[in-house]
Amino acid sequence: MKETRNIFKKIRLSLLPFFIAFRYIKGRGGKLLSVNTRLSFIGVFTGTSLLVVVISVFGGFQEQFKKSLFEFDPHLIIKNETGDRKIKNWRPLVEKTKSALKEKASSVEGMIQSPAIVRKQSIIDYVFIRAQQFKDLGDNRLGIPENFPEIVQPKKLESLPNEDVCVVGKEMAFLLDLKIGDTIELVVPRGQFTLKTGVPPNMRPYTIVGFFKTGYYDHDSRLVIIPLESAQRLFGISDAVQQIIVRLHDMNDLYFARSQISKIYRFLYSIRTIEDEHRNFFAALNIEKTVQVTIVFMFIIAAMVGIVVATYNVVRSKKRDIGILKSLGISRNAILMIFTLNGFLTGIFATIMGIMFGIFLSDNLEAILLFFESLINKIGLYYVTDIATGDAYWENIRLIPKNVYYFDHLPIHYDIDFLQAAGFVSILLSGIAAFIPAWSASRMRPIDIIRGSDT
Amino acid sequence: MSVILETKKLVKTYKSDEVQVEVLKGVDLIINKGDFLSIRGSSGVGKSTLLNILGALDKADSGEVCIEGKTLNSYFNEDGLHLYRREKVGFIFQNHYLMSDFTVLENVMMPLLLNSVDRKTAKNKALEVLDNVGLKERAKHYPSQISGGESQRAAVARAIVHEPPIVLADEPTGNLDTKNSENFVDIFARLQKERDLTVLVVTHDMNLADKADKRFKLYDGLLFTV
Repeated sequence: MKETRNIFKKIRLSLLPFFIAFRYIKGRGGKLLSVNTRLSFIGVFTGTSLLVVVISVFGGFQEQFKKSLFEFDPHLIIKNETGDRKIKNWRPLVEKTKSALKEKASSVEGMIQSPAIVRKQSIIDYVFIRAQQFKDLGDNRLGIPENFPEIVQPKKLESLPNEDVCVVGKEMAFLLDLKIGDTIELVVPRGQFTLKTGVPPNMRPYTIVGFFKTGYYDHDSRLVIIPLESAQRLFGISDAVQQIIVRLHDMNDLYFARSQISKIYRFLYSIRTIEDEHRNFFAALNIEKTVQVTIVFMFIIAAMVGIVVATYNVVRSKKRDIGILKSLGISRNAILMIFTLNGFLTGIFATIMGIMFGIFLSDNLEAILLFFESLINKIGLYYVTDIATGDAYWENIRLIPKNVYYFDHLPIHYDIDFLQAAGFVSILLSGIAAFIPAWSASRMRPIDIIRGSDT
Repeated sequence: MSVILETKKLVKTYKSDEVQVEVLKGVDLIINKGDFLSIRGSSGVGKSTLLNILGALDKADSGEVCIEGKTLNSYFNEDGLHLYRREKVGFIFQNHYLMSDFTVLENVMMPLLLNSVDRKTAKNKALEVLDNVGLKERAKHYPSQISGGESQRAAVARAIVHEPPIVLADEPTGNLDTKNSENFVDIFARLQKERDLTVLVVTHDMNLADKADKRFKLYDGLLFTV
């Protein structure tokens, strides 16, 4: 009975710092938060909100880029590195690869990819031909494969004629002024190189049946997709391909898949991953990630400096209370707890609110930017208008120029794991930041405070 | 009559740069249960220093303080000193030193909460003492909402609410006007009698000093009976 009473006494005593800390956070009377708490709250809240926006926008851009690449580009490319570099027995190899990867592969197929020259009347430019397998629907029609990029024109293109037809990138159509139904000529090297004739070219007309959009500018401005059989005719190679390509369900299986299929393709073949093919792009993404983490840390550290300053302020403004509480017999640890809790609880509250507001802000960022865009343009137009004549020349400002970023909308992606980690670090650092001034508070001598020599 | 507090040869010297001032030169004092003692003396003579040493806010250079038969030195480690302040003494300062973020009631409840008394009992007890000092109606006010005299009465309530063995008062009327001072002295003397409090008060206020049963004067670092 006595032991139970002692336990209750200890619990009551350990709750006292919470009561005092809550009061310091809340402030007296009907206030929502005390002035010092408001200051540290604003610091952490602003820091974490901006952090969420930065992470979401960075993440959005990265995801958009990756999505553009990963959805369309092959994840593993197998090439013959000998002789004429063609793979003649590709169909059994495709089957072997499929069985080696089992359910990890979403598709394994033969492909031809080669640079080419495109000509439309007097316009000549260089392009890349990508020839892939289309589904044979019968009746001389070909079905669109599953991994085909989004076709933006015509709106509904479910099949194409099994002839010399092509689908070109939306940007290429814009740059070369191409229309559906136009004919372009593709010029490619054909046959073996000889000293006498060099590499003879081959030219073939193709009818444009659609425009695609991957979201990756290089593809959308340079890529021409044609059916594999048509490409074999163009390149003069009977049933052969230049590459066998693999697409995976999960990019995390990339290196496992490579090691699995390397047992099939020994010595004569090279196996390259999508990361090898776009080394610069992935290096840029990594740099961006490093910058992102640095920015995140800077935000958090700025917010923590806010907490240290605000808690020091609380300690300074409550110095008299510390003296009183110590003269009443409060322990050093309790003082330490009161002021650490002060910063820590503020940190938790501000971080959670900050993350929520950051998500709200990110969700509405495009609308907010558009609002400011229209506001700036209205104000600009007003100031450049000649009052007497009413003449005005104002070039509208675009805060997210579509031709630069090449997105229809501002891409936002929430990396929940990263947000959780940042929130956790922010809360943890709030505690550490508050601990430093709280420690100094706990070491204060009540006599110095009461005498007033430590003020 | 049981001895509550006893000092033996208390010495305290303040050192600053090359100047040394010996303010207490071997103070001996015995305080019995229910005693009301007053100490007078000119400014800077060491009255507050003596009180701070007895309240474990300051440390003597030599000598001994015993409270209820236990030496203060036995509390002098970090785990024990706050327990001494919490359980053994009640302080009244010249400034009321109420905490501005807490109501008068919460301020008075604080020593009880520190002594692990449950909130309900602490509240009832604090209200009872506030009633004793005529502040029950002001219980929910904040210190900034009450007068200086009322604040000092609240400080008295806080000092006695947990029934410490001894109450130490340092110039409790020092900041009060004559009317408030007289009112305070009356209430303080009445409470001392009613509750049989053991009180040591350091004061310049003759009115307050004369209410004490035993009157001392601190002169040249030593205590003399007046």
